Amino acid sequence: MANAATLRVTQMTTINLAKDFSRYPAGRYVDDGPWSGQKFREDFIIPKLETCAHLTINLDGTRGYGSSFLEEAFGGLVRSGYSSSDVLARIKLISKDPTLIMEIQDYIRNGKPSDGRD
Amino acid sequence: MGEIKGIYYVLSWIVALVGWIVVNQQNNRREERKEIRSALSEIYKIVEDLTDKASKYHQTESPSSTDAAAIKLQLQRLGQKITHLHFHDDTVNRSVYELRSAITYENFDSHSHTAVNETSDLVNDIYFQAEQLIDALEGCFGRSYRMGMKVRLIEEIRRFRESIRV
Repeated sequence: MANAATLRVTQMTTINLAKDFSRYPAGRYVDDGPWSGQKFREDFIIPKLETCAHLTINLDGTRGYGSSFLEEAFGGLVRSGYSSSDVLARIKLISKDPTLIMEIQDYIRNGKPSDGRD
Repeated sequence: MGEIKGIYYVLSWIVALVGWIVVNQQNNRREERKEIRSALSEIYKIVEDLTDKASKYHQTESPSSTDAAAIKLQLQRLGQKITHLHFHDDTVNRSVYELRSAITYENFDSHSHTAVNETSDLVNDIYFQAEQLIDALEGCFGRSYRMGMKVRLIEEIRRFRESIRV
């Protein structure tokens, strides 16, 4: 699991979720739909984290988010083996809606289980 | 004598100017309070509509993806409308996220969706979080527009500092 200190490539990259992934993100797992949180984490976030020291994710432009998508995409990183502090330090979130950033950061910090609330 | 007259002349202008500033500020404040109250009423209607839709969604055996999309879009609009109030309050922001989480964290946009009954924890939690959000918004409104000068001033300073931080 690469972290910022071990990466030789230290550039920063940006993902625009609406343009690069989907304007209609939905669902937690791949079984839930084509634009799930699991797919976003596995196909977009993790590959970037493995090659780039810092990642900026722009959340604006979609037609809304479900918490299941957000938790699986970002909280799932901690379950995948990344440490909370590493993820928080390396991923910068951009959104007009401050509640989204607050929610995602909580999921990363708390690493809520995927099978239910609290 | 001429000097005293001059001082009175300047003083009367200063008093008039300060009076105008105070009255103008109070009028602006009153208008702002009306606008925020009106915006809050709209927000409460959205919250009510949203909780009803969310409750029905979770009680339906196989809800459509269109229903889910409509709920998410309405949650987004709710967040935007609240952001536009410029309360910059963590309690309000947390309440928005808790409401979104109550509606969409589990049993939502899921291939394994199951209908729950209206007395389930999930449905109760949605209504509870909606109340929490309304309570947080009313708290912010009260601190900004109903409390005494000291509390209002502290709130203004806090909002200003938060707006710079954002």
